[in-house]
Amino acid sequence: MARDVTGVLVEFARTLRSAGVDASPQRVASMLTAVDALDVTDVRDTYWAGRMTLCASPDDIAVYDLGFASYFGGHAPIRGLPYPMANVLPRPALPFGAAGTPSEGETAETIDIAVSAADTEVLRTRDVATLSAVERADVRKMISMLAVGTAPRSSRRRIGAVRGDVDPGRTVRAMLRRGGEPTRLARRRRRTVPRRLVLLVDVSGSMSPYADALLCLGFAAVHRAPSRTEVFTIGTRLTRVTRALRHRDPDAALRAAGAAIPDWHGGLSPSRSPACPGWPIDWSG
Amino acid sequence: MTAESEASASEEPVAGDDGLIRQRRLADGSDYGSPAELAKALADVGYLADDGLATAGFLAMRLGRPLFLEGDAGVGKTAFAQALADATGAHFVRLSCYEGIDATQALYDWDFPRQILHLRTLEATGTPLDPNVVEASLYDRRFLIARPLLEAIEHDPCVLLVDEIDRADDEFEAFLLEMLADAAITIPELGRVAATTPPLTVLTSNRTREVHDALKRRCLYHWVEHPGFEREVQILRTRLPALTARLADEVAMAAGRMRSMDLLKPPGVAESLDWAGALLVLGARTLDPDIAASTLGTVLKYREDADRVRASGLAALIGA
Repeated sequence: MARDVTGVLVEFARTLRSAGVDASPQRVASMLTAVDALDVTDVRDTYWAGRMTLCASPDDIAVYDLGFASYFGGHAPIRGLPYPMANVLPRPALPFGAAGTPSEGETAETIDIAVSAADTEVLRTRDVATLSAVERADVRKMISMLAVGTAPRSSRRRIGAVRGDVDPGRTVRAMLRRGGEPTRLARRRRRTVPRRLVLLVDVSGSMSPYADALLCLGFAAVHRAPSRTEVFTIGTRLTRVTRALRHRDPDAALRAAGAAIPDWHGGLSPSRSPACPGWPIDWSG
Repeated sequence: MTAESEASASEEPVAGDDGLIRQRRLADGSDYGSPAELAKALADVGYLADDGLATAGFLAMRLGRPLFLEGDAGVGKTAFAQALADATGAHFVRLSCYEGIDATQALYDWDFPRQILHLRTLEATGTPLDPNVVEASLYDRRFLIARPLLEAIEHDPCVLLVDEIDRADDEFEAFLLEMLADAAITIPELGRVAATTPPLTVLTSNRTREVHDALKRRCLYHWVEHPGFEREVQILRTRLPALTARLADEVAMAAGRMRSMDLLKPPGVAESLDWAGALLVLGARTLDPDIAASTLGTVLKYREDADRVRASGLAALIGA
């Protein structure tokens, strides 16, 4: 392939990268090989070769079409997507900016909370603090319907299974029962257990617009897994509100929690709270 | 596993008379000089591929890279792999993924009962044997059950379809990546089984979950779209020769309109083929609201969708 053609294509990939398509060097190399196998003078071939190697999802294709049209001067995209794409994939809202995937096995004590929000949700980019009373009631209702769950972890214990490692103990016991005849291999796998969830809700004065919504979330979590969830509030002291939140009616539950919290909207900072002395560390002085 | 693959699962792969020719054909696509030629070969076996899909198939053969196909259900991703195998005369192996699939289901397994039977037979004959020889004879190829991936590696040429990879777990994906990278499998007791030519691999996904980027990076990515009106008419008439031109037009038009209606499950080509087939069986000459209402179940698979289409008016849906 001529040098200038390569240059043009690499520049095209750079353009796409700046537009948000993940055109990594490896992908660009694939594109060059693909164009080489096709006819570089045919704009359709170049279009397809680039699209198949640089894109990785339907979202990329829309950007690619635009980029291709603008970069290769006035060539309209050969074919857009004629029908609205069914984007089945739920968009997970990762908590606390945890974008990385845990790499070293599932036993690491990381907690993945699968939360998903519909794309059509109008209120999702708005701060709970700025909502009107009616909207807040809506949000409260929606939050209390959330299925707050924790990801399962694999336990150290094993249970019998159809597939998996051979279970020597059970296999030998079965053999002994049948006079030493090994008829079937017993197998086992690791058991999975749900993780426990502990929520610490800040109900101090500065957090008062959010405390209500967070307690609703606590309510949803407690009802999802009553025996494995604990909710505490921290203001000037630590209060366990799990029992109060077990009420079946959300309003009653929140009222009960409010009654149980002695430091609701209190003015002291958590650093002076007797429950967690010295936290957070005061850097001001 | 498909029926034709089971027949030869336990035997050594035997190259046919034209084995060498086939191999070259698949190895570098030398039989197909351009995507258009591949499209023609696919059309000969009854699959009408559009420009993009033909280019995708051509590049996958040429570059020896797996092909990752995504798209709505029923747009012909699986049928494409089958058609590739038919067109190139390659052995077709299908691995359907599901939650919890693991190596023993996808690669190979030892036939434990047969191994035991073998030992008993040796005992019964009563000839004194060297324990080492007996043990070695247990791990013979004939006691190995080839699952789809091993089968794909042993057959040459071969088209391997990994269907609905999004249903399998992450671990399986990583494992598949490893296998695709070197087109070889190491069986501890037997040694390494490597493919002479890597199988032409087609992976499909319905996008119920995002597949890991490492796997996608190795593949050529193609989003399969619903066919346009003319192509759909062509597909309907190729697959159902008894269909009249008018009925094919009407079915394709109505299916196209349903796809733009933002349904839960927009009908794919598979559904419009079902629908046209149902209309043929009922002896319909043309699509009218009554017969459309009674056959709506073949094209829409959710009650909500059917209600929605009925509410918007069947006459408008099938009107010219």
